[in-house]
Amino acid sequence: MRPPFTDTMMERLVSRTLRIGVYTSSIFMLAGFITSLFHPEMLSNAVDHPSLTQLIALLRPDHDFFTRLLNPFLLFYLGILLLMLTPILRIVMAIASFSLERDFRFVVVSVMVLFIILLSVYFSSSV
Amino acid sequence: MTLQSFFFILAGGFVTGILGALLGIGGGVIFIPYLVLLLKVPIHQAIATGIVCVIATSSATASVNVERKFTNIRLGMVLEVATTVGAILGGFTANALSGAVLSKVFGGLLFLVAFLMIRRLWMGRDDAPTSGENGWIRGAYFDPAMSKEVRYSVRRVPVALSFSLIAGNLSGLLGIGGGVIKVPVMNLMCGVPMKAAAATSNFMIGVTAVASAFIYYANNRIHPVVTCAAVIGVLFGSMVGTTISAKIRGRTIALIFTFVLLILGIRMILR
Repeated sequence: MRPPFTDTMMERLVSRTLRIGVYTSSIFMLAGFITSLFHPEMLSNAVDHPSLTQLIALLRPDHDFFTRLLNPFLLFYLGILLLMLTPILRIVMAIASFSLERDFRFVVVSVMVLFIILLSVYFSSSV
Repeated sequence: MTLQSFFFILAGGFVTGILGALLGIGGGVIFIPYLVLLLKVPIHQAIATGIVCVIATSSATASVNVERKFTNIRLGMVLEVATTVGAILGGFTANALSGAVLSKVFGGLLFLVAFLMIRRLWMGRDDAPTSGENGWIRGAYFDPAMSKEVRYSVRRVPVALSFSLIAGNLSGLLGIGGGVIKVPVMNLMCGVPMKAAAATSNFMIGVTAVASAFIYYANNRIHPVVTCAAVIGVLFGSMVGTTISAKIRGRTIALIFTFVLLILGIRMILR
């Protein structure tokens, strides 16, 4: 029989999600900073502000993926996007953990928080 | 935007991160005026930068506090229902207000924070007594300073929810974490020990900030260079601040900080 899912397991899962999110987004931001050290003129040539959908599309793994990432602006934008996704991911992890713990009252509460955030994302992407 | 401005923002973020870790507050109250008054960043962009920095510091600090069990995830999730609604309302309000009005409101906030800092310095920071263990949200952690396990349950959840709505609103409106309101309420009114209240508030502000961050993003208020320089600086600063916090006298820094807040408050109002 599988051992029951405990609060300690949830804490580890949430903690790792947050840590990985901060590390990954910082890597993108630092990469943008290093790229701009070599091409400081690029900081003056701002790219058009990408919408959320355009930004997510930039992450598609095609043959131009690495060429796109030579632009510090796009690296910065991707770093910001990943950072903004980190707390959302930790809500998803909390929902999964509460479900495994069969603590349904907090599953409902966490789903409500996720719903409110997604509502904000929805309204923002339709602006 | 030049490489020189990038370094100025990075340095400002670094100092803010150190101060935040030393004083136990989010650095937004000092970093946003720094961006606005010294680097002439438009206030909406400065607030958006503050919001993204809040996500970064909250996620980094919470990843440690959650594993130490100081954070009460259940309490955090319940109060986030109110903080996120407040933050969305704040985000929309801020984007509708003019820069001049927002500056004045921010100046008022600086006075409020300065007052709370003076009160804390004057009265000390005694922990309110914890209540029994019969509430529906309970918590327990091992306190290394007291060498014992602390158990508590949360009283007056509706009160905490109401204040969380206000804290979330301030966060979305002015780009701060809102811990300045939530921590005393959780501690004094709801019987949550100070360590757990501070860790839970810190845990919540990341999700609260995300709720308004997307609104700022959609309104083109997030400047990628300003924001990333600030985030890198703040993250490194808070790492250094956490390391040196044990060796530095917090009271003197808190006094200087309060004085700086008052001056910044006046300048933001007169701007």
